[in-house]
Amino acid sequence: MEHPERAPLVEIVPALSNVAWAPDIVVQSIEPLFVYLGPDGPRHLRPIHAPSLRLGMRPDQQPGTVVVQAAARYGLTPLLVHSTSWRFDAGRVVLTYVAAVAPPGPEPNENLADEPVERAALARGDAFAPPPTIDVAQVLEHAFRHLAWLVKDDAEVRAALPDWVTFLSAYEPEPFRAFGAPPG
Amino acid sequence: MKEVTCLCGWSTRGTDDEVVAALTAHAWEDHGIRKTREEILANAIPVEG
Repeated sequence: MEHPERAPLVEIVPALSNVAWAPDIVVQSIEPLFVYLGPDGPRHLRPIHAPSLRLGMRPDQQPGTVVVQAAARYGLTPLLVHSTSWRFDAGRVVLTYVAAVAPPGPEPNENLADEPVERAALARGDAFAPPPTIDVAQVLEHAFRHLAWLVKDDAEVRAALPDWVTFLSAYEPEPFRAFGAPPG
Repeated sequence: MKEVTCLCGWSTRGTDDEVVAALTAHAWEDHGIRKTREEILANAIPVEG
């Protein structure tokens, strides 16, 4: 029997991953979702030839900067960019950023379709696996629920989106919605 | 491998030649514009294969 004080201090186990850390391994898909608050509710500025924009990111870039630069390419004025979710899609990690922008001018960029954001049921997986499919409407729903929480919890977010507070109150914060009403 | 994404959301990845061929066709057929090989590759980013 081994004395406790002589037990090995470090247990050697197989590597947890077969991919070494390296500075050139990065998230390759940033998904900015450009949204603005119109007179009748939220609007999504979707790229006309895709459900959402997917951007590559070099190792020397910050994802938030990539999103801000992308907004500028479309002539949009970002109010807030915030990462709201990620998912694994076609072999890649897709990091979603909601980019709240100012309403576009009278001549919006021709590469963007201006569409209303409808409510959607969240995509849900199980305890160990993601949902089998996730579409952009569900990603947006999650993003707005995320912002609904942040606009109450984070003064910077509230300051960046003062006009959004009333609208976002319709999106009950996700951490509480999932549990339903308390028992009793 | 390279990847390039159009402002309209269309995206492609492949070798230099594949990316140039695909984007040349997309630019002309969907946008009516012509892009040179140099312009295309200047906007392509290297990605894992």
